[in-house]
Order: sequence, then structure tokens, then C-alpha cells
Amino acid sequence: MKSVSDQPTTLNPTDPGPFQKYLFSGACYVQIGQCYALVKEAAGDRKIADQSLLKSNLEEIWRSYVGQQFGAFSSLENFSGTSDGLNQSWQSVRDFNREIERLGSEAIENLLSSLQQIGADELDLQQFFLAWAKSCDQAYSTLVKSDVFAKTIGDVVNTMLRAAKA
Amino acid sequence: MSDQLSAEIIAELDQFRHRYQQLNTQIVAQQERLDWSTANAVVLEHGAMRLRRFEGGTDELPPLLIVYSHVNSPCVIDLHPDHSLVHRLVEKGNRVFLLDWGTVSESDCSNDISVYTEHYIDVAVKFLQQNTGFGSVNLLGICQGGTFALCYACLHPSSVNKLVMVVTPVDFHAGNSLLRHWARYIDINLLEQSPQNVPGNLITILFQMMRPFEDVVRQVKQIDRPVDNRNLELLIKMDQWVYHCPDQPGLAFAQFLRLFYQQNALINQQLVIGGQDVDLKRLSMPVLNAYAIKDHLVPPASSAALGQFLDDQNYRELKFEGGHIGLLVSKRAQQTILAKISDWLAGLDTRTMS
Repeated sequence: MKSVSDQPTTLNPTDPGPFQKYLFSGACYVQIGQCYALVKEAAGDRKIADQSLLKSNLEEIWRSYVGQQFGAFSSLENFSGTSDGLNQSWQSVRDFNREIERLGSEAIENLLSSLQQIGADELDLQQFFLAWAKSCDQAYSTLVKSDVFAKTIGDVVNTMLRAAKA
Repeated sequence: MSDQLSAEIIAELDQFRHRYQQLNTQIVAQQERLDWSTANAVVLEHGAMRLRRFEGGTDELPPLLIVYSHVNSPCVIDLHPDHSLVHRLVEKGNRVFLLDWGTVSESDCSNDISVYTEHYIDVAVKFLQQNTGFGSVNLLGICQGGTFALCYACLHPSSVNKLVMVVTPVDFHAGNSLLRHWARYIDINLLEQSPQNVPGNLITILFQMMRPFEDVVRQVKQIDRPVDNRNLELLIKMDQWVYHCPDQPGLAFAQFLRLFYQQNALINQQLVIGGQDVDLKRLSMPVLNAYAIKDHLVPPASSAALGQFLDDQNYRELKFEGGHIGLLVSKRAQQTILAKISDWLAGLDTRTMS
């Protein structure tokens, strides 16, 4: 029988790997399922999950999910008529990307430590989902209160208003 | 790894997917429309504004005018009979009217803030005075609508019998207001110089950006719950409500950001609307201030700041152990804080104002 961890070593939101049919259509859910399988498989083999692979997958999910929040702006009408208004806003906030990376790492460390407390044998998929969402929520709540986040929001909204005015 | 464990993990993932599909099928089948649960009729139209009268209530009490925030649909006050502020108010005899801001059109983009803090409310109040025989009305404002109602009550104290504020920002710089923080970097001159309506989708996205992981938690928890059509109906209606913010009238929106979020002019006693000072010390009517301890949109300190301007005899606070939306919609709120508000308005609350 094929192992459930026979999956790509890096995650691509558009190519979610072998778990696509098992979870939500949203890439986030598929990817979380893959991470869950990694943890459970390792527990079955009485070893610790491949931390670097797990972390890299979780980092990618965090980056993709937070990126989606800003990506939503591109669906607004006033952006479609501009030459990459959204990209200009992104480029103006390199600090913002650094902050996302820092907080993403923090969220993952918190998640791994909470998983240790639950114990991989006892862990089920829902617990994994909720532990992941809780750790990300904590990190994200720091992010949204930061100055770089507020500046980025300002940049994006102002770009949109200028585009509409032009 | 053993084949057995592999099979177990796959079975778990499969079961999860199956429950999700079941939930999805039910959601598609229900397709609830965001609508009122209490019968109502429009009794007055003025510009974009509609005055709605909900069925029920007694004419022994002054009419109650609800002023809801302009940034969301007011349907949230009456989504479902078991989750309805309107129901709680009517069942205690209050005659409930809602100032519905209506749909913003292009011609509204140059409306200034006074249209929303004074003019529309005044039109509705005068209509109620003329048609009910009461010289003053009870006014209940919610969130931004509470700020508007508060401004109106300061400008026209003799027209307001009792004032209720629900999750209302008063001191816009108190607590850690995320909205205030975000508003700092928005170039309001751009909107004021050439007003254009602000798309509702933009407001929706900004609200969604506040707590995106909550969606994941809500969905995952729902998957594990037994099927309950009533809960599902409410869940769908809540989602529709959250994802559908109306367009905002450009100039008024810009002025709201500048005067309230940036300058904090209301609490600093520097707010002038339509050439008149908005003086919080002019509030002579009984005031009930209800707010939520875990409010992520309006910090409790922002609402509670009103107390310093009012006489203890005329001012009472109600605190809810929950969040901004929970205070309006949750089952717990129906039996606690909303019931108390309704009693107070109907004169059934015999406790002293303290």
C-alpha cells in the first residue's frame, strides 16, 4: 500500500498533491491534511516527524493564507484599470514581508509545542486543524496591530482611490 | 509505516471530507436569503433612507427608533426569531422602527456627515412625532449608528425621551482600536477632494482581514456538529451578512474617518455638525450604554468613555461578556443583555439608574 506521505516535498497551492480528494477544495485545507498525515505517520513509526519538511510546509501555508488576505484587493474593480497598483503597494512594504516571515515562524513554533502537549497518538484531524488555526490566529493578531500592516492597508487603499480618481 | 496506519489516516481524511460534503450540500440546499424575520413595512421614504415599522408593540410607549451602522446591513438585528433584537424589543411592548439607510447611489457621494448624523434621523423623528402623538422618541443606536444617534441626541435633546447605545464608539482613541490604527494611513484628502462612493467590497475585505482564521475555526467546528437546520440557517445568514457590506457615501465616509477616527473630535468636544457644536453635556435624557467586554471592533473603553460626561442619576451601563456581534446575535445575549435593554426601554426595569 502506498504511504500517505508520498507527496511533493514542497507544496504548491495549485497542485495540492494526493490529498486533494480528501479535504476541502481550498488549498489551505488540503495542505493542512498533508501536514497532519506527516505528524501521524511519524508517530506510527515511533519517531518524530521530519521537522524541516513539516516546518517548510507550514510556512508555505501561512505565507499563502496571509497573502490571500491582501490578494483579495485585486478582485476590486478599481484595481483592474491600473498598472499593477497592487504590486506597487506590495513593493513599498518590504518590512511587511519580513514581519510576516517572523510571525509565521513564531506561529509554527507555537503549533509544534501545542502538538507535543496533545501527543501525536491522541491527535485527530480536527484537533490538528484547530491547533493550527489558533497558533496562526495569535500570530496574525500581532501582525494586524503592527504599524507595517496599517501602512500597507493605507498604501493599498490609497492606490485604489487614486486609480478611481484618475 | 504500517499499511494499517496508512489506512486509518486515509479513512479519517475521508470521513472529514464526507462530513464537509454533507454540510456543503445542506448549505446549497438551504440558500437562505438575507432578510427580516419579523414582518415590517416601509412607512416613509426620504432620499435613500427608508423608515421601517416592525409589527407589534403597544402605543402606550413612545416609539422606538433604531439607528444601525451604515457599514453593514441592518438585517443582523432580526436574522432569526430566536436571534433577534427586534423580537426582544417587541415582546416587551416596544413599537420598533428602523432607520434603514437604503442603497447608496452616485448622487449620494457628496452627502456630508450631517446628512447621516442629523438630517435623516431628524426626518424620521419628526415623522414619528407627528404620527404617534409623542413629543419625543426612544432612540437606540448600534455601533456607528450609535455614534450618529448620540450626535443627534446632543443636537436635539428635547426630541429624545431615552437613549440606548449598543457597542458604540465614543472615544475613538481609547483601547486598542484596530480601525483607528488602520485609518491613520488612509489619505482622506483623496476622498474629500473628489468624493466617490467607497465600494462595499472594500469594506468587506477590510473586515475580513481582521480575523481570517476565525473562518477556518468556524467551518471546522461546524463539520463536527450534528446536523441542525436552524443552526445552519443562522450560519448561512451570518455569512451572507458578513460578506455583504454596502457601498459607502464617499464624502460622509471620509469625514467620519477624519472627524472621529483621526481627530477624535466627539470626545474632545470639538465636533461641529451643520454649524452646531455637538456637546455631550447636553444629553439630558436617561442613557443606557451597553457594550461588549471582548469587542474586537469597538474597545469597551471607547464606549465606556461616555460615562464621564453624564450625571450618575441619568446614566447606566450594561456589560456583556462576549464580542461585538455576539451581543446582538448570540442566544446568551437574547436572554440577558437584550432582554434588559428591552425592559429598560419599556419602563419595566425598576432599578435605579446607577
